[in-house]
Amino acid sequence: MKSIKGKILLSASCLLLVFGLFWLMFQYFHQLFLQQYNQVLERYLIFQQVSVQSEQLLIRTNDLLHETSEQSKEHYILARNLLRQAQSKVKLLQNDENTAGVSDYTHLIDSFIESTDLSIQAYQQERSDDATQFYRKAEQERSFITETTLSLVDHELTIHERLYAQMIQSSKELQIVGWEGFLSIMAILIGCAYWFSRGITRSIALLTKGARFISAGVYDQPIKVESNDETAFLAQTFDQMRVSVKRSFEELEAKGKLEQEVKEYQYLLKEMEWRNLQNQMKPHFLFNTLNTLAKKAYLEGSVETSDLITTVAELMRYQLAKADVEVTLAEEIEMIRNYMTILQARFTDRLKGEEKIDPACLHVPVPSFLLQPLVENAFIHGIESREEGGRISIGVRAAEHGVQLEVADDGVGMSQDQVRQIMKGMYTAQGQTGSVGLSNVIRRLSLYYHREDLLQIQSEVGKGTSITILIPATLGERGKLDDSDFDRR
Amino acid sequence: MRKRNVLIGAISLACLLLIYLPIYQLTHTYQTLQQIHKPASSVKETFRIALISPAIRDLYFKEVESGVQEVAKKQGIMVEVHGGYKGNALEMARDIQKVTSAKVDGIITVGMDDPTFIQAVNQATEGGIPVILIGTDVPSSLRKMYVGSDHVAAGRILGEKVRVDLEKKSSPTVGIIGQSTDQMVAMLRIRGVEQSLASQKSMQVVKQIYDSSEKNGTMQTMSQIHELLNRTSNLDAIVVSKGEELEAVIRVIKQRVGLGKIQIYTFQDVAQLTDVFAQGQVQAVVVDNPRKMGEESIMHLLSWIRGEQLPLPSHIYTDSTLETSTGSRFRNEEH
Repeated sequence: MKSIKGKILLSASCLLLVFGLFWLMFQYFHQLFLQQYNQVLERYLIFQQVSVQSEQLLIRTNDLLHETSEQSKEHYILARNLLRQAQSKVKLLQNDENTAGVSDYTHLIDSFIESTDLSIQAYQQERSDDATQFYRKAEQERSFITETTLSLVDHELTIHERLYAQMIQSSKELQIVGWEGFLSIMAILIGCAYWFSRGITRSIALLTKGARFISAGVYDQPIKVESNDETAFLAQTFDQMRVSVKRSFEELEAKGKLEQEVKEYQYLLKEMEWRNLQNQMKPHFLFNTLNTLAKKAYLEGSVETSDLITTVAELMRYQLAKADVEVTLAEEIEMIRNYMTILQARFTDRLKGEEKIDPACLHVPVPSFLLQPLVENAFIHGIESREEGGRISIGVRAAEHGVQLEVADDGVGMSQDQVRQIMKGMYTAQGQTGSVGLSNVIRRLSLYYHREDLLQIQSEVGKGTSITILIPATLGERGKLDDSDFDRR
Repeated sequence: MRKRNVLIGAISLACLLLIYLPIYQLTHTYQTLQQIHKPASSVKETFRIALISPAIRDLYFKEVESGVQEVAKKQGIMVEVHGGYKGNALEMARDIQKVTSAKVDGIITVGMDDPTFIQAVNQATEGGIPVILIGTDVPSSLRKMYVGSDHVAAGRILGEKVRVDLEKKSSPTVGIIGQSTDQMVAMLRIRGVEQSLASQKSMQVVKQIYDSSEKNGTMQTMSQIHELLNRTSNLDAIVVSKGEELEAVIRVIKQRVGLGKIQIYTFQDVAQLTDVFAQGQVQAVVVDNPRKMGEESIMHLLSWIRGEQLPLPSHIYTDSTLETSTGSRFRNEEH
């Protein structure tokens, strides 16, 4: 994995390298050309030097001829040496094109020095005529030197003319190439910069998009960045964070749902308890009163009345004691018998009770007050309104997966719509308590056994209603409703 | 990824090209530069011969030079050409002095009958430098040798041609025009012509010799021809002693009597008269051989310098050729 820093460094150094090479190359050639120019200039200067030094020598000779002193002699020798030096330099300038000119030139210088020497020699030997003659000769030769200098420089210029032309041409071309190079490098540079920055910003844009999704609460949009720098790592980490946040949320949601369920159950239970408590006051008082009444009736010789009152008292006792506990089916059936006895005592001829009970099934545990609301309903809605009365039959038999309870009447019955509404828990008929009782039974069953299909209603208008409840036999099918249930989650 | 590699490759290629192109360009220029400043390949000491002419662009001199250069090239001798385009004796003398000071090994120069020139030649010879004159001899100078046409012999050839052409006429008249100042060429030619014509007694010769001191040569020549035509009523032929005078002669004759009436004979130092022949203006021309002069002069000069031929002969005559309008050629022998 390359870091962003590394990338920047690499591209910057690449560009620097290219620019540096370009610069170095131009500098190198600039130096070379400068050298050549210098060389050309030097050539002119050397020729010029010869011309100047020869004039100097002529002047010194003249001085010496007019005034013989050590100083002027020294001057003369100095000038002579300088001219010799210039001459030796000229020899180096000889090339294929100026061979003749340069060799003439050096010989001319020789002749000139010879003439000045001879002139001075003649003067020293006091042959002034000869001295003057040689001096004249030297003068003439000096003019020849000047002439030849001019022609040589002229020649140089002619040679260099085409060189200059070429150099000018080259420098023009070079300038063009330089500009082209500069522009192309700039273009490449901009292209690289764009490409490179896009590489970084694209990954960052992807990251930003991912962050926006997460902030909007969308956790199932994967964040994927294909890059070989730090952004890839960043994106990977970000994605991991997204996944774990999503999981936590899901867990939290499930937990919340569960808690809500538990709360609902507890609420229902509380309601039951409250109703029981509310009812407790009356029943206890009634219970005691009933017992007193039963004893009084018995003492007064009305055994039948005493029994009935005792039954009512029994029923009340059951209600008080078993309000929110699990009871056996046998206990529940016993309570229903008591209830029926009371009802029959009230409506002597109009109500007939029937029992079809399989004694083998009576040990099954059921929630208390499971059947009583059904019987109450059957009586209130099915039979009470009928003048001729009716029959309520209670059935207990073993079914395939447990025990089937049935409460049937041959009363007014219900339409299919009413049945459906009751099943949905929406129906409220004339007697409100009754329907509350039925929906209470349905709700308690579903909470108790965690099944919705245990209670079924079959009814027909005019023919009666039959409500069946399936009590599952296997313990696994019903959860135990205590605190440990919640801990399992 | 592959696309990226291609991109990187293309960019590197472009960079390389960018760097390579100017390098190539500059290297090329630099090499040319160095070529020019390269010192002489062989600094071997050779003989230096100075070739001097008053008119270095003349066809005549170019022929001489090519003869000299041919030999020089074969023997590896350095020849320096000096001179002007329309030079005079003074300039020639100065050039000779200059090359003398430059200590050349030998001088080949076109001769001039002028005291300054002669003095310069003498100085060179005194300085130990051999001087060979070509074309024009100056026997009074201290020149080592003369290489060129024998002008008297050339005159004789032309004179003979004139004599033969006019043989059938009863009393032919021949006009001769020449400059008295040109002693060493024109006068010698005229002498040769006269020698040939003298053999025929009936031949009448009229000479118009003039002094060419004036600047405007052509005008002067024209007036001299007018004078010649005034002097003689029935001129059959005219001998022009210098090729330079020919144009003026033709112009005057055209004006006065018309071409074809008078036959024209002349001398040329270089073969360049084909157009003149084509118009039938000129009967015959004696032409010098400047190329031969160049070859001979340098060969003798080198043999003297090398000490192979001591002393040199006083003169070497190169051949002169008679060319006529009918195309026949006659070449005299070398001496």
